[in-house]
Amino acid sequence: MDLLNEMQVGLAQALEFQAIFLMLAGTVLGMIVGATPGLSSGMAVAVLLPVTFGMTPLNGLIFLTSVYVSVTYGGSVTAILLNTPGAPENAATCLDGYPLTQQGRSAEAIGTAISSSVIGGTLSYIVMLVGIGAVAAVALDFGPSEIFLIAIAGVAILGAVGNGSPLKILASGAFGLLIGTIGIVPTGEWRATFNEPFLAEGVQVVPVLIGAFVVSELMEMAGRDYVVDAQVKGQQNLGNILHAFANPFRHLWTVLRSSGVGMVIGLIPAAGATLAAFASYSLTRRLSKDPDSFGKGNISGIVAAESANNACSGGALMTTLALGVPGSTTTAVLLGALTMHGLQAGPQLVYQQMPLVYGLIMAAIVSQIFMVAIAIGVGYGLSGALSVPTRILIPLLMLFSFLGAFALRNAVFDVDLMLLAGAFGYVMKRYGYSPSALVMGVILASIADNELIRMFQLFGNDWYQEFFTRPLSLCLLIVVVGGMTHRLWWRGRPSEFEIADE
Amino acid sequence: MPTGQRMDFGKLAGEMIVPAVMLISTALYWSDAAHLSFFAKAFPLALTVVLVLCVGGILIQICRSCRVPETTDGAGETRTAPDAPGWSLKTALQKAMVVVLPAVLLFFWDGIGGLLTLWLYATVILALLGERRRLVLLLLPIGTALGTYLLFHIVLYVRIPDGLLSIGF
Repeated sequence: MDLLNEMQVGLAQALEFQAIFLMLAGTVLGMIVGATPGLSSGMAVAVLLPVTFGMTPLNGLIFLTSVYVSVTYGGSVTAILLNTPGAPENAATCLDGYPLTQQGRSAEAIGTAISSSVIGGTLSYIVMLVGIGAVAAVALDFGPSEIFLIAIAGVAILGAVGNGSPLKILASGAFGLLIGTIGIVPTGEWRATFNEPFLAEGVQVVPVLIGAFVVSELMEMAGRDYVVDAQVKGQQNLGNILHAFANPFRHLWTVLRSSGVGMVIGLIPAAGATLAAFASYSLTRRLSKDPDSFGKGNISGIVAAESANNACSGGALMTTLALGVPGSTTTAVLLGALTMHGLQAGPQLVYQQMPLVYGLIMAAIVSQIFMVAIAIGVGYGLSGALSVPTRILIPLLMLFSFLGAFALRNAVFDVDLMLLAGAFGYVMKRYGYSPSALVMGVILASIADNELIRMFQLFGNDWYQEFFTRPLSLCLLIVVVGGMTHRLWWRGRPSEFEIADE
Repeated sequence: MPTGQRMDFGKLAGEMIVPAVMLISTALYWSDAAHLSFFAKAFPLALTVVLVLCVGGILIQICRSCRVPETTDGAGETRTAPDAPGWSLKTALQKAMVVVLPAVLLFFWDGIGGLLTLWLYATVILALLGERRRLVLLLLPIGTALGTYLLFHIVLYVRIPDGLLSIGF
């Protein structure tokens, strides 16, 4: 009954004029970013984060979540038309989407992608609506050892499943964690601050986020005339787009299974939608009666990839809100937004801020309706024609980033920090390191550090026994250590995910 | 051959940037944190061990890759790794200016004011990125600087210094 009441309150908040306006604005912006190859959801949410300074926490989160969710929709359009995923999570959509475009069936592919995305996204938010309370209830029983390991898992899993050298990803994560420990310790000591007052509260996440995700990307773009140079072979046919809406229902088992896969992978800290899409695609191909047709324009491939990557957002958001550990890089930015509004994600948030949590989930469900309408418009109208000149995009986004970092504390120090993070993030990307792991580390460091100190204080010299005597801790320890060891041991062999990515 | 050696050295130097920054930053970190209590040092210490081990592993990988002899194609031209940086000086300058220019302009932030700094940055970066149309060079920086300034100053109440603009008002 309580849950129903909260849903009702959440729905009422989601249907307020301001919330709907922000949903629409977020969806349109997200869709444009998604349809622009080279711009990721993390980048979009990071650059727009400062805009939410003056909003209520709920409205700010509704706006950013709408951007986050709609980027995946928009990204499928360019994946299908240009063979260039608008966002990394749409890479699996290229595999069958582009061959369909070459066959003159792009409208069918876009329609299928939109409707699969809606089903995957809606299902995942419904599961989130019903399940977040249960996850938070379980999380309330977590001791410091479990919370410590979940925080570490956020970085370690990125190394285990990430695309690239696990050593470099792990080094990036460890370095991020180390930077994140700068500031005042729970014991009252100033740690590695060099007596700089701006570092007393720790390294601020927002400038690091904007630097690593936006500035580094702008540096990458500099030197190119356009974000992407490609010829669109689109087929503008609204009838075919709408007609293809029925396709996921013809592959009902695929859409349900893929949504489940996406949701579960989304729940794993740091695993992300790209992995969800490829895992689901790979599973669907294996279970298919005609696996050879995949990669040549099989509709099931699009259904699997798009329902999984959209379902992932619900799972990732659930982990972020209920456990306080980001389920993906973009939700790490959302976690930064929560912190910026003075809220601490975790099981307590779900219980103490029920109107906010359920309002956000209801808004995510309601926004799916807008997304269909806007995605059809994007699919029909833009058709991946967003070849934005970089010399327009760079000054615009840079000014936004500049003031966004400054606005946090009205401090030039934060702008310097953003520029430093941007330059370092760029070099990291250039040489195969992971700026995402670095950011994840900066966000998670204080959680891990505080919990470890709590363990020292509670259990004295026997603190380490907590990892082995509590079943959940032991399981998490095995997952973290096992995942890393497995990846390091097998680093010479490319994973199926990497092969598919190629 | 000398060209090949230079490419190797360039790539090697590039590969060393991130590990070097990580190690130097860690050393700086400990120069300030070494005197802290065990509670405050335990987690960073564990992270430092992991980081140093990872960087050690990465350096071994870099050394191994250096030993692999370079292959040449039929025409005798040296092949370089596909990810080897191959920018022109102009591109490198453009990339650097994206972050160096705002860093320099920050020194004048309070003196000339926020709006003028933003306008100056937008104009210079636009010109550096190759925009030659006078109208765009004139209007776009004014539009973007004014737009973002109004959004942050008026809508979001961010305190941006007026600088030179305060003289006239």
